[in-house]
Amino acid sequence: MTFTIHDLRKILFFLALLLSSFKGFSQNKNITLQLKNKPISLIIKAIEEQTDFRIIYNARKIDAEQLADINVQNVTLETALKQLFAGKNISFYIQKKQVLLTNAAPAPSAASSSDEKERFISGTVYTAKDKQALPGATIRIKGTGMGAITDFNGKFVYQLKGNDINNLVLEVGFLGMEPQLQKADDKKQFVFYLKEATDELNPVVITSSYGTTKLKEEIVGSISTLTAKDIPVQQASESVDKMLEGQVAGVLIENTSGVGGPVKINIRGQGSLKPLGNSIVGTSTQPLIIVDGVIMSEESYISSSFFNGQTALSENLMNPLAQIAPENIETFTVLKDAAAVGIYGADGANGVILITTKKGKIGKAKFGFSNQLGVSSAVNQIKYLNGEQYTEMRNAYLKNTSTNFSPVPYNGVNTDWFDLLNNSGIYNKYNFNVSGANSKFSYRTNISYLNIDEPQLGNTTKQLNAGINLGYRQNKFDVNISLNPSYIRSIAPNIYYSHAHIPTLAPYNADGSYTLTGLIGTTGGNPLAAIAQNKNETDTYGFLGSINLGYELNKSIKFSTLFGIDYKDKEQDRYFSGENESGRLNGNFSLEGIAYNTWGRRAINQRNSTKWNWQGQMLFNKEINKNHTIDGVLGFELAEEKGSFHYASGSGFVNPNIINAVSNARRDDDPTTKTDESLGGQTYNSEISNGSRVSMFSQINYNYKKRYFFLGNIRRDQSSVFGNDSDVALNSGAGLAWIINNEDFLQSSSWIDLLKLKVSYGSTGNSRIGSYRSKGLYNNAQNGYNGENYATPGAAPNGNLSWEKNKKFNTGVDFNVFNTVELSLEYYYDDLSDLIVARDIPSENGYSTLELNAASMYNKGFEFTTRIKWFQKGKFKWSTSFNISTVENKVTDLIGLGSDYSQANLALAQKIGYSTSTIWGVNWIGIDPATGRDLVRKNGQTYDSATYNRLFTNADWEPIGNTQPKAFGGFSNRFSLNNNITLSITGAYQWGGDKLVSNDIIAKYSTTSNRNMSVNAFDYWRNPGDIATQPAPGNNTLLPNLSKYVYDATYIKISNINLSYNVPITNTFLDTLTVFADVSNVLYWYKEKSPAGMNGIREFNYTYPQARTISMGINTKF
Amino acid sequence: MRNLKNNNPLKFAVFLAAIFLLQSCSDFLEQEPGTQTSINEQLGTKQGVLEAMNGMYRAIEANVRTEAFSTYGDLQGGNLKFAPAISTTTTIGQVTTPGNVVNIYSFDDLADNSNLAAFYSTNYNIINQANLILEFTDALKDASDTEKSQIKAEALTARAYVHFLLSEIYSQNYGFTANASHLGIIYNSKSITNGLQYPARETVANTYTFIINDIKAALNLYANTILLNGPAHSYFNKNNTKALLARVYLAKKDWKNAYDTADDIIKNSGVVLMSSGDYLAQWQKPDAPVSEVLLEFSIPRNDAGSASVSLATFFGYTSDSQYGKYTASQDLVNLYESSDIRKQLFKNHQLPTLVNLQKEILNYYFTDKFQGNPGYMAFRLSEQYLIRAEAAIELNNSAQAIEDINTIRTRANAAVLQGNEDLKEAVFLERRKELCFEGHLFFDIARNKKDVSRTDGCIALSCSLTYPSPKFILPIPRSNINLNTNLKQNESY
Repeated sequence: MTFTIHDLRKILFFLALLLSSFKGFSQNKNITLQLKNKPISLIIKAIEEQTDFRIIYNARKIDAEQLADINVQNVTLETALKQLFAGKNISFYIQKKQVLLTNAAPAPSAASSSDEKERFISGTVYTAKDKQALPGATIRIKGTGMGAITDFNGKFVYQLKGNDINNLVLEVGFLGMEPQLQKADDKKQFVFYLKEATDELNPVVITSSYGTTKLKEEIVGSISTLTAKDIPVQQASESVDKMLEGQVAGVLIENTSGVGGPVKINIRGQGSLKPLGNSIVGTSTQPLIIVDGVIMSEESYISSSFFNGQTALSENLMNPLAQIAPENIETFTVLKDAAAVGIYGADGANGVILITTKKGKIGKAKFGFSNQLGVSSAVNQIKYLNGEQYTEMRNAYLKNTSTNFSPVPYNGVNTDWFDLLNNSGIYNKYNFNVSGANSKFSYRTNISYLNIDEPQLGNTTKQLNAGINLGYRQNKFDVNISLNPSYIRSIAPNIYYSHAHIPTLAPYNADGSYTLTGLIGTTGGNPLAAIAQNKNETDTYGFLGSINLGYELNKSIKFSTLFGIDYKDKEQDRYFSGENESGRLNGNFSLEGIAYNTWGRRAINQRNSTKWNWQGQMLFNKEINKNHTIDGVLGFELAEEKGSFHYASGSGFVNPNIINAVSNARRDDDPTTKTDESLGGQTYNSEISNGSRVSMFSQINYNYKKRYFFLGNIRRDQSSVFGNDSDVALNSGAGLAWIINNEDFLQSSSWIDLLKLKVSYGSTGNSRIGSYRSKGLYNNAQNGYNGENYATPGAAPNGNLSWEKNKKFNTGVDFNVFNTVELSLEYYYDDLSDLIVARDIPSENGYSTLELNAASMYNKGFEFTTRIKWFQKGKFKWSTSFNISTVENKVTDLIGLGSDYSQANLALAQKIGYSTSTIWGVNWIGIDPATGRDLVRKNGQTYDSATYNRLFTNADWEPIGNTQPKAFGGFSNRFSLNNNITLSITGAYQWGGDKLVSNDIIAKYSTTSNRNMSVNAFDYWRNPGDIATQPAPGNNTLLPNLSKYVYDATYIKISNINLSYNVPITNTFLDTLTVFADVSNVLYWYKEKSPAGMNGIREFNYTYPQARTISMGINTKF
Repeated sequence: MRNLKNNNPLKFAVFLAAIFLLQSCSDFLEQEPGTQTSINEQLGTKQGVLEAMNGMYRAIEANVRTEAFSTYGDLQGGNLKFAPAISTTTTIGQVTTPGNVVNIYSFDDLADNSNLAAFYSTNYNIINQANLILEFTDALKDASDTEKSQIKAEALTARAYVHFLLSEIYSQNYGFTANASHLGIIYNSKSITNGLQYPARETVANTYTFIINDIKAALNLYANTILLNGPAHSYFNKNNTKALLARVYLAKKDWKNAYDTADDIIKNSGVVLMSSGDYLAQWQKPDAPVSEVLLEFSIPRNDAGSASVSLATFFGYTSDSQYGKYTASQDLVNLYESSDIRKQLFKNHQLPTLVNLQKEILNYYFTDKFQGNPGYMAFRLSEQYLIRAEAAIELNNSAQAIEDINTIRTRANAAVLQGNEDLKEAVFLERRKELCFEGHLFFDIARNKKDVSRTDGCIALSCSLTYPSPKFILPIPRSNINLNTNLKQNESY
């Protein structure tokens, strides 16, 4: 038997090629067969049908199509096979229920030595960790492709052949484990203990939620993947998105401050046109997030009054990713280009994030526990005017705006409200998990409890996340269940950071009671009083779950189906007490004849959403022959999302100082009118938002000799949100990759580990455009013509309204050398068209506006990622990763008009030829030393702001900045010493990118009767000849979008430093014990420095300051 | 076994296709909004269509009741003058032009800021409502054929009526050019569900053809059922649709058809003229319309049944501290013979008025036609007599013309025509006197190619207008012109 196999890689092919037969129920031991001139393959099947043996062979080595005869009566398997293969150059080995066919060796030469030529060996493969048998491990003879696979009990048999059996080396491998070698010597029995691979160069990457996977180096699309070890879970954040800021090329995770706000992830630029209004209702710009196959629902406002986010008592949106404990995340994969997201069709335009949670690993039950405790403090706080400065500024304002004004003297009070409202916070996290698996059953349970006491006085977040993963495998069936229940409680009575109160007001009266501020409304009142007396609590119960059934028909075909559900129940309950001004509305009411002020305000917002998806797919994988392999998936998906929203509010209570039920807001009915006024203080509203989708998808991968890879995607989506005339979206994409180092001419250059070129192109869509935008609507009301019920048309129908289209081009090169450096460079060009905008239409159509697919733009840029393992052997190890991305955006077409402008304080415009993130405004050139007014420049002329305002309109604005950075990215370094001490440093940066700071706290002196301003406002013009940055306080024309309010936000930040130490332990029940110290939000470097004593971008970047957290913790396994 | 392997993908594909087809066929992909209703759902049932029709009537009523439109014909023509602002203890009432009519009153409307801009777009909104009803009614499953016919007849009439109102305001009269080839209006007979349109204006000839076609189609469909609650005279029906047709023929100067249609109504409608003795009392009723009503739009009322708003806002007089701004000009009042009982419909109230910075007490004549809670009188029988008279003159049937004019004059206790008068002038004047405050004068002037001459109380920048003039019609709102390159603006705007 002479296997003449040269290439170790080929073994993979052969193993995959072992044709298996689907058989095994016959209990007959003996065989009766009479066949003549039939192919051997057919005869083998006939034999299999009569026995419970499986006959396996390599179709490339055994000519199974050659014809043969057989004529046996009730004989044993061995006899039958002997007869069958007589003179056929095929030999066989029977082991348990398997028969292995090999091509028989030619007759041994007489000249060969009398040494051993064959030897039967057997052995067992175990996991090193917990000594469990490992089925499915491969045993190969090093230098050849030959070998065997372990059976269900981890056992294998094999016949070694050759002239020098003692020097053969057995190599045992298993996916995810480090390969192990053993020399044959004279052993017949072998035992292997495999360790989990800790550093895989070429891991298997999940490429979709439909069960497709690929080896990392064989991926055609643009896919970035992070595994658990890349996620700095010890960073003091509540959700994984914040931990990954800057860690994935092309993914801009927008900085937010505070805890629990909505996720803002932009993959390769803004995915849709920025709406010009305040209205947030529109097309989603967020990636599709899929957790263990469950398509997560996005919290967003809907186009209906009370639920569109436009009022002070609108629901605060929460981050959906907070439903998953970062500790429970196994992989975080970002799909970016058409080859990668094409399988998601009309949902893929903004990219896709696939999250898988951790599953139990083969071995005994393992317990893990960690605890982290830290303190947080606000960083880079805005500096406000002190009492003396405020008084001076206020007097200047009053002097300029009134006649015969006599200045008010400084009262000596200097309250630093900002300081009072920000103190030290506590960050505390517990995590407990248990996991294990045997060959059939796997389980893992994770429970995380997080308690963040924010530096913002009074605000806390408690988060309880659980993750349960169960898997069961029996023969060809497997079942996996993933459950992620969560409970988040956010208490945030302190919403008083948008402006500061005046410093000359003491927080308390002499008798200890809270002072009044003179500001009413939800953000008015004495904040200290409001924090103590008001209530703002949000309870979110979430449940993400999926069940996945798989059936492996044979080596080539697998069926699976998955049902996933994302359920959320959320209630935000607010009470504004009448004890402070935030709950004191103007007006009054009477109850039982007694008049009361309309004080006290309760508002309850409820959101209940259920989103489910059911998918079924067939995965196939077929090696046609040595050179050609295809695999892919074909499937369907149904999804439905139902959201219901409720709003209830009441204002005006008899005793407004206690928390009242909405129904307590009662007042007297006016008996002279027909209507019932007794419930006039109560408001109730409900709305639903539903959507459904039916999709079919397919992906095919083909490769030739592992050198040329082709990928094709096609997907058909039919969705209820599209117009009836265009409800079917057909998207497709294709990609090519060329692994150059697998070419013969590079086989010899051993320093190149991977050199791959790839290119892809395809179309995707954005169907998340809100539920009913294509439907024409009627509004229904009572008391119409002649008092009857009536209906009148509301929003215009657009049966042609369709998904936004995004054609993606991507090309890149991957270059890995010396086992040390990985480089990846990609260029992308996303062509977005049919973007939805609301346009005025000729009113002769019966409507004045219509939502149309009427804008186009592009995003393009480069992404560069590198990972370098400076030292990986020895005591000291050091690895670095770094990425940088660019995004360039331009609006290329606005059908129906050339430009459109927002209001000034938003400074936005849609204009052909400009980026949608451009800041539009007026070029400020200084303060006129003679008059103290803002001077601006337009068309080479200098105007004062009042004259400018009279002569020009929004259409005359010019670009004064761009919020999109020119480049952004991040870096991380990991050092370890003796495998015991590990230091990791992660950071992020952006180059360019401007921020328009609100002029409210810089130059809007007219609001200072009860608000303080930043210290920058103190640099105002006082006397003729003064060179100042702010105008004379007065009622000058103020333009909120002057270039002086635009700050360059270029920064580098160290987001996290973590130092951990593995405590050496012996003779305890603990397996490992790690102690660590962690600093989050360590430091910022801004390019634009803040002027001495003033605020700059460092302070103005976040009105609600970010928190720096210093923490320590332990992490143990037992 | 090989078969099994090969078959399974096939079976699976079939299974997939089956699931897919199943789901496509079902209503899985139909999602309805919550507090609002989609067009398909609203217009999918008879009840829903009737609600939509109610909404259409409500919109028509609200639109014709607007200050700028309801006063337009009489104000421009010279029947009206403004009452002074209500005097208080510290101020004396000043006569000013109400803001809602300030441009049109001086024949100086602005395309950018037209006093009737909202009227223009609301009319097309109403037309859209009618079109939606027309497009969905045939498919109703729960309505009888009779009911469907009646619904469509009313919607067609509404569409024709509203287009006619637009045509009167935005197009020169039919006789402006020899073959009526001058600019008409956009005639919209499709809802937006058929696609966004950037339509062009029809010629006046085409506009009238479309209007008449719609009315004729409606007349063939009327089924004499009443579908909505409320007074019968508040909905379009066969009689008032014929009245509309007669008015359209008159404006088209199609004398034969105008004569025949008016004649048909007078003889066959069953409605009779108010009597002389009852004439004043009929007008002075606070809530119900005159007995010869053919169509009056009902005013909105609140839950308790009291009127929330009506034409009395502009024409009413309650006391010296509560009255509307529009009173009869002396030009109009002086037209009546002293015996004419119609003169008694003008109630003189003496109001303090600021004249040359001095307080003067001046006479103002408020009409009794719109006191109490008056609806918008769209059609009544007297007009049909005058239409028949005017058409008869053109058809050289002077005897019928004299008879019809005298029917009206006799009832009013005015001197009868002898037959040697200028009959055309006589019918013009009779229309002015009989139909004053009902929105006809300015259009009558234009149809007869007369000049506007306003004397008493005129405070406009220009009080007269010589025919022909581009100012006999109003500008299409500029925003519509800007958005639609196919849309031509009227001359001089």
